Amino acid sequence: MGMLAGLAAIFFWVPTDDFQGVAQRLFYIHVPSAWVAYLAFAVVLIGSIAHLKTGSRRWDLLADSSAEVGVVFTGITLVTGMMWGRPVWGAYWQWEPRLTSTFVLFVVYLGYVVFRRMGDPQRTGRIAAVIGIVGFVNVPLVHFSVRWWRGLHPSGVVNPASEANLPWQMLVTMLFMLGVFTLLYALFLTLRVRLGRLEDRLLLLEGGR
Amino acid sequence: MEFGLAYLGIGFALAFLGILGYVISIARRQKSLDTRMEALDRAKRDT
Repeated sequence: MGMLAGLAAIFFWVPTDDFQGVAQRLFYIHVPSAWVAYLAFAVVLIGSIAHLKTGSRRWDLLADSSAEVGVVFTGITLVTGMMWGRPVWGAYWQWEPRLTSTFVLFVVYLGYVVFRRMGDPQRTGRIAAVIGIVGFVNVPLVHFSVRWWRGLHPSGVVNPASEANLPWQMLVTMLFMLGVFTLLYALFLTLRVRLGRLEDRLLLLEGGR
Repeated sequence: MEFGLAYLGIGFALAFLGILGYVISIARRQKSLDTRMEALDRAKRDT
């Protein structure tokens, strides 16, 4: 329902951007996807630290599940960014700081997910936790890349200190979609953790046969 | 304008395909685990 209301607002309520035209409407899924990716990788960081500290499989499973969801949303961020970039910049891809660092982020956590599928969780857990912690260093790099190294990608448009702020309809729609995507992340994470628990139980039962 | 509309459509379509694909992937894995669990229960009952 939230997603449908968000889509209705994106296509029928928010004004069209004067400079970028209709393609700017991708903003309402591009930014929330990026936010969810940051959130997911922050949960990977927390789960990884807690797993190294306690050795508990529950934290490991949380990190593993969140990394998988994070990779999906980073992929969506990259694809929607490419589709937005083509009509506005004239190119799907530019090796500029924000895009390059986001691509590296995607590859690092995709590697994490692939590594998790290579062996049983008990063996890969500790190494994966280290990758999960070190990989998070890339998140602030992605976020601040637009300030530290000037590239094509615009810096944050939702900034109270900035003169170039969003019209209120755009801001409301974007915040609403942030909420919808955050709920979607929570749902996916819950489903994925449940799946992991079931898989663990099966491995235990099949091993004990 | 129409040029941008095509990219907007493709962008949204790919994003939702990504979300839908992930939902399907979770559902398929769930089904596969349920099948394995049922097989295990059956084997347990038979022995």
